[in-house]
Amino acid sequence: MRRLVAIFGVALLVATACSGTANPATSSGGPSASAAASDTPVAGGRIVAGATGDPKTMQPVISTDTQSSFVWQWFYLGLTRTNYKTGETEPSLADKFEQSKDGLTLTYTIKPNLQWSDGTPFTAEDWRYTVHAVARSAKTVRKSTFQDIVGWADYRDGKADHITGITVSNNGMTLEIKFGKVFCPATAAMGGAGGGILPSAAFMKVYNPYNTDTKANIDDNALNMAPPASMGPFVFKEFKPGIQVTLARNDKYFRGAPLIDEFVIKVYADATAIKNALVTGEVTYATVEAKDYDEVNKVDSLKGFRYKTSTYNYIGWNAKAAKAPWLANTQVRQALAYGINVDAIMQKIVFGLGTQVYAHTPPPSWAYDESGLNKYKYDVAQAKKLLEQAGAKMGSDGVYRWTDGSPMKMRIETNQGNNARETILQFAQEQYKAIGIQIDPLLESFNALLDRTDPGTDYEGFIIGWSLGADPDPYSIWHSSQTGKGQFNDVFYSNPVVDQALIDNRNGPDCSQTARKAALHKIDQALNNDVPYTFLYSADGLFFSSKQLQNVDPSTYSQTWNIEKWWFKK
Amino acid sequence: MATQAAAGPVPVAVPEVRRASAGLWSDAVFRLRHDPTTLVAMAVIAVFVVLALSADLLAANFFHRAFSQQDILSSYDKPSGAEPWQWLGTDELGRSQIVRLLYGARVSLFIGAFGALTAFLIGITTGVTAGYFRGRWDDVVVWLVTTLNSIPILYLLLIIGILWRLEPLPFAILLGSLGWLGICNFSRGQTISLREREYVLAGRTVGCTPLRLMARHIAPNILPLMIVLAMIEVGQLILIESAISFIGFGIQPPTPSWGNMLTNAAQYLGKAPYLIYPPGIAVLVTVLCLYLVGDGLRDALDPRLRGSFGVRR
Amino acid sequence: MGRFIARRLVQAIPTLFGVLLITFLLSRLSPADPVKLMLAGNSEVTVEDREQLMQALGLNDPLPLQFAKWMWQLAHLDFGQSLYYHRPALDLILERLPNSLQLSLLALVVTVAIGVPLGVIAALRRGRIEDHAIRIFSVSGHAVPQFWFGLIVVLTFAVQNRWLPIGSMNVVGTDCTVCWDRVWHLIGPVFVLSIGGIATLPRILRTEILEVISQDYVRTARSKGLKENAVVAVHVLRNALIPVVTSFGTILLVFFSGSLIIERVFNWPGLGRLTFEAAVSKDYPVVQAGVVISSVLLILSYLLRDIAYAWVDPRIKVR
Repeated sequence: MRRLVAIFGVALLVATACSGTANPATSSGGPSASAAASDTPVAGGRIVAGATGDPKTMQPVISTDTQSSFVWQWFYLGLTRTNYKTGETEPSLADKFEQSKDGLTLTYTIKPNLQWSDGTPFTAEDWRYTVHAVARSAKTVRKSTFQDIVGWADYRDGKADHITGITVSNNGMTLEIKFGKVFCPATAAMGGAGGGILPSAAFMKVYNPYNTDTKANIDDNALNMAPPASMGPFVFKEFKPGIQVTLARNDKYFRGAPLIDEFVIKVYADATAIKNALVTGEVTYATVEAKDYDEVNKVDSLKGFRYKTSTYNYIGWNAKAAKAPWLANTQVRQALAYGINVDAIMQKIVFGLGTQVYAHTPPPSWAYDESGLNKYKYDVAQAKKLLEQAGAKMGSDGVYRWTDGSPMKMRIETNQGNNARETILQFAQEQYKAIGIQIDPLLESFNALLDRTDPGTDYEGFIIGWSLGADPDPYSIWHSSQTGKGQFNDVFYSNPVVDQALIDNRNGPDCSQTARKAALHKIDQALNNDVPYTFLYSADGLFFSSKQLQNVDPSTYSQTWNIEKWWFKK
Repeated sequence: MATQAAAGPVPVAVPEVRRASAGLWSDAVFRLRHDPTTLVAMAVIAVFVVLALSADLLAANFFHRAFSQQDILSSYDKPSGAEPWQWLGTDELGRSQIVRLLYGARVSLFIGAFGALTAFLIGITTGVTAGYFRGRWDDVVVWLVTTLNSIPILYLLLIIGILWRLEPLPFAILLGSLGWLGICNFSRGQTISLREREYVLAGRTVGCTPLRLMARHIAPNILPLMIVLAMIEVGQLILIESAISFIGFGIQPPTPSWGNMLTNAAQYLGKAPYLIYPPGIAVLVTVLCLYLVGDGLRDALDPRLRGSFGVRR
Repeated sequence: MGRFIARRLVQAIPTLFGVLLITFLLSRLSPADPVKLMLAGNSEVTVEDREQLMQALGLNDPLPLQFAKWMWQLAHLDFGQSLYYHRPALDLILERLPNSLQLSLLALVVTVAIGVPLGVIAALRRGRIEDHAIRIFSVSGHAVPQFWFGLIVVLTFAVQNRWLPIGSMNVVGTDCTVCWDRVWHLIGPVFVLSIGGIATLPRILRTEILEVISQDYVRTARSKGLKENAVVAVHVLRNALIPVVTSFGTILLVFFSGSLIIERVFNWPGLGRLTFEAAVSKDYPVVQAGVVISSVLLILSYLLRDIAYAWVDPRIKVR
């Protein structure tokens, strides 16, 4: 599951587990990683986290924003989870998961004696219910995850009253999923049920998916804002709009009841307010922006953690832009890559708290390999040379004219409220002026930006980011077929070699890490040469928590994986 | 309006004013001479206007920096005396704050002045005609004033900000077309009392057209006070611009205005706390001086009116 | 009195109509696509969907009919659904409204509590240093950008010295309305919000006092041998305060607009912050409802002001 990075609320950049997938390699470098082991943990206390808005919903099927997932992630878990450090898929509500030899059948065995917070047993039925709810939801963005399951389309379209490829047996302890074709990321992707698993007993009362009525769905009901039961460390207690969401300890949590009594998500006006609240101790933990790192690092009452993240920021160039036909030309895009000083961005906008990237695969991934990639070192002369080779002629006003005689002028847009991106936008404007390209900057809300960059012709450049799951499957971002409305290839990238490699990586048939890594490297090399994006950087996660809070150990894929063990030292 | 005030500590602009009110003005000048606060305030505004107007000249010849010129490697420089352009430090892109402050003055003063001019024109036209004709038209004007007075202006600007993207000039006109209420109210009240005066009645009996009566006999009498009100409006509009910029719907960067410089500075309070003070103080001082001048001028023109208007924000 | 109130209520109708008309026209005259305004940003709209929606929303009707329909909806308290929260916009607003009122009313009380003594001092010590100081304070109070002042208060008193909280209405875990904790959270926003009022009130009061003080009955009171304090308290202030009630309208307008900014700076969960956040996420129905509701409140408070005025000054009814 990939998700565009909003970074409105700092605290919310926290991974939300991303229903991600497999495998190793991340560094966690922080001033102090583990807590004093000698002290005996004491129960009690309250954690306060900051958010920049109310949750839209507390139900994962229809959730699309970080404010929401920051709440429901505490109730609704997956069968598997991503290891916080390595990114490997590890058991959670399921004990075991096995893929058949042909890769077409996946079997999960549920942990015995699991209970929801309201006392009902947890079974594979809950998973089955959730996936059916996804299939009929009109608001979900998670359908593509399940499209290869046998019988998916028939059920979705109302031709069947259940998905035939899903079988629950052995008293609800065994779940078997059959696929129409091999799907390499299946293990991890299926485990999460596209977010979290819902308590089917409670939700059945408001919506029954086992029929052919495609009009009814789970999108609007009272339980979406009042989670009835929890499998996670906390249960829902109270929602005060504009003020806070209060969660209480779940004594039935299968990893053990948390030592903390209460978890409160308090709403602040913006990221700066959350940072201030962290500094004054109103908020117990938060991730901060790079520009605030030095200031917060000086605060005695806090300890800091720094780790790589599975995200990156980039400037996308729309190859089908009506007002900027030159963006279809590879040499022009290469010029745009040479024409911006990413070193300076790393130094002065990211303050060195990140990794420069040259292609798609993010640094913590097991598939990361920057060998053989062009670094596009800042070079104005080279940029101009490439522009001229592409056919541009310098005009008398210092702006290049494209082959059709029009001046090379275009917009670059980004979302308001993201400080680093706003700064990069203004920086890019000046930088591109130096290579004879005129930029008109445009700021808009994050939603408006997503809306505007829905594949089409009326946008040119845009600065945004990807937050990627642990399993690398960039099919929907780079495949040439993914350019329809609502799809993610909004730069209209099309390269037959990449198309093939994307399918190899996704559908095998060889799903081994070596084979997939080779395919992914092929993709990265092509992207690095074609530069459909000007790749910028992957920002580090900068996590701070109160010094009194013990056992905190945040990393790339989860910051709160062991929250049940957190406790306050007096 | 600001340029008018900039005529200097001693308002030499007097001869240009209509004969009808010459006595009033010379009287006012006399009183002003004994009002050091107002004189100082006038001088300060004059200096600001001159600086704003010569921003290009100063930027090119003295500071050697353009307002959009970036030097990212010297970003977040604290204020220092080393080079003139570093006097107020640099922001996150290494742009000279003092140069941006100068250009910001230009944008803010332009919006204030042009908006106030719009407000002045709309206000005096509607106010005088409504007061003169009364009847239906008066009802319409009063209704419009009451209505606009019942919508908190920032909320209204928020709606407009969602629906339109505004450049400085339309923005100024928009602000002006929301800010004419006080001027209209006042000129309407004055006109109502003036139209019953003998000289106006006399004019009417000899067959003067209403237009002539309003333009030659009524407007000149209320003009001085309206100018004062407009000057105060300049200050209010500068404040409103900064407020609407703060909530993100004002003048968009990279064009600097004091409002969006403040907004930007608020983002970097931790990294560069010195950024928040100069634009804030600039707004405070400018608006303060405009009010003091307005206040002083009004007292000078008609001491009975002291303190008789409220401030709308 | 009843008839006066009834008449004022009737007079408020055209104003309300005007507010609705302006709000309505703004949305229809803008270049923004009304269908997009009514739909969340990421939803897909096909040509048929659009046509259907135009029908459903009545966007194909002539403008006056659309306006009438919209007013009919509002009359049924239907302000539309929030695009972001998928809840009725009115519910969202009503949740936050008490918080905003708390702030504004308290700011009004503070304004009176501080503004009246300042006005009296300015009048009684006119021309002296106190008078000048109060004048300078008044004008500066008007001239300072509210949000800037608020930010500096937060920076100084909440971040650098931990005397005030960063935000919200209560410390997490405390839940009370009348208690020290709430007062502690109110100090910052009320202080900054009331600056505008405190700047306005003394000047008006000063003028009124000076006017009243020269009247015959005050001279009579003095010549009766009453103490100066008693004269001021009983005769002057009481009469001077009557016109001051009128200025409450202006002050309330300042508070309403100001709340948009102050609530953001101090993280106060009120109507202003809700409307602002809705504006950022282009949640048009909520913004529209926010504007309408805050205007209605303002009209109501004008009404209350006039009634209070008529109550303290019986002459007004005759006019």
